[in-house]
Amino acid sequence: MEYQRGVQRAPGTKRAKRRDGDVELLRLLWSLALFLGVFLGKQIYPERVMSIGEEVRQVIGATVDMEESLAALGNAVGLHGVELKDIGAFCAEVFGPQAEEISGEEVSVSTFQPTVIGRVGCITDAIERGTPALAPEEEPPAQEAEEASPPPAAAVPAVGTVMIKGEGGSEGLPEGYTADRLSFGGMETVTPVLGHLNSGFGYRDHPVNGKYLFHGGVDISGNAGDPIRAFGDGYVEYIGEDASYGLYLQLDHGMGIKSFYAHCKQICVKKGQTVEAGETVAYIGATGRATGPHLHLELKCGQLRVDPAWYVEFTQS
Amino acid sequence: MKLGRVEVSRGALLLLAWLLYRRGEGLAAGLFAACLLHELGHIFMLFLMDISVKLIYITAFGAKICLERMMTYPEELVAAAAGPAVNLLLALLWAKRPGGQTFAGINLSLAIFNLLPVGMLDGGRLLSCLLALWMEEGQVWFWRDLLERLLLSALAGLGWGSLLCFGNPALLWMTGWLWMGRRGKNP
Repeated sequence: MEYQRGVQRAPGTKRAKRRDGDVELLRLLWSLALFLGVFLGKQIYPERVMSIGEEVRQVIGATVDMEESLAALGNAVGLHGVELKDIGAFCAEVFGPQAEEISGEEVSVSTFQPTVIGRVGCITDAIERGTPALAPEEEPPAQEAEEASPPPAAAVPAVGTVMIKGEGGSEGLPEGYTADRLSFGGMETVTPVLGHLNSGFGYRDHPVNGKYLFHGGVDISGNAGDPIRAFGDGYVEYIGEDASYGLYLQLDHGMGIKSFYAHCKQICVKKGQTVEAGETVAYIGATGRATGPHLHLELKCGQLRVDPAWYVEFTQS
Repeated sequence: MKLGRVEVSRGALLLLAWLLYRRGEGLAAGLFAACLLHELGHIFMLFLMDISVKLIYITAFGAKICLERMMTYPEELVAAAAGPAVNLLLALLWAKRPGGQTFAGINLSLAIFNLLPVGMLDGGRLLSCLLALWMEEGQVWFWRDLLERLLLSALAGLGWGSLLCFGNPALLWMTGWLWMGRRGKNP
């Protein structure tokens, strides 16, 4: 009985096994085809594949920059341990309203040139208007800047005072950015890297997907390993590394003024360390999303990001 | 593909191939490392409790560990808690390291996600073990099911709210995935 059943079942088992093998092979081939498709597609039509990826992200709602949200969460944990409010904020960021997508590290020519209109001795409401929603890091409120109003009659205008109006105002810019030259209250500043302005502050066409995106700083060309000097006196607020900015650091110069340096090859200061204007804080590199060695510099005044071109010098060419 | 007591699904191999192709770009590598360490946490705890592992089946969605014998409730409680505990520990350790914030964030969010008291997740297993410790076996399933339904309904409500108000379907996707996988893994 046992033996017979065994004999009868044998051919069926064999057939089933072969079918399993075929399915296995088919699946393997399908996986290979899929992988090759994506791999070759990305090599031959990078733009097309990128835009498909973008569309898929839109549909599944993955437009939130998870990396930024996760980094902010990790940062909060580092500052004061695991707290419910940070987790809540993270959930709100990921599952809540989506921020307008603004990014860009891309190299192209600046589209707007600031023009001098004259000195305006008033504080704009722009300082209160800024939102840190787009900032990759948390910003303290611009209290110092607000408290400084109304401007004293002294020769040095208060921090945040609009000195020169940027062309076209700040209307076209994303929330939290201004084209105006704001006063830094007579702070002694140093050009961190003297180089050619590769890419200015403002909107430009993305060289990969052709989208019109915002660039929140300036890209200054330089050689890998050249020193990056501190924009002013202050202390190292944070140091970090991510896929887009590479190795980066931010200096806090007090009065709400901060400078941010990205794509560094190496950072030679520690978090919390005091630095003097002109002191070497890092070396130029091409870490993160960069096409070559350069310094991506951002300047912040209160909760506003300003055009660094107002405050640093470039070589002409 | 089978290597000793570890079996890897095709999906996971494909995922691994993609990870290698991307060479650690973006979040994928961090997420992979966090998941790996999470599972190693479970396995290490099982090793400490001298429970031998029959098979570890790795899929693109997580690892399933088959054991030589059934665990008692306290044992399962400890084993299930070990994974999220590892992630929590990593989050606290890496949050202090320069450049480690993203990895810390990944770990913390992974720990919290896994602690959701829903079916296949560690939180679900923890919940059943805790319930089993102070009520009869028959009741455990009733309460667990009820709590799960309540939580998932609340999440689904929030998910729809988020989709309709903000146009963000992420929470709804996640809830749907949890709902589908609710009966996927038996304790």
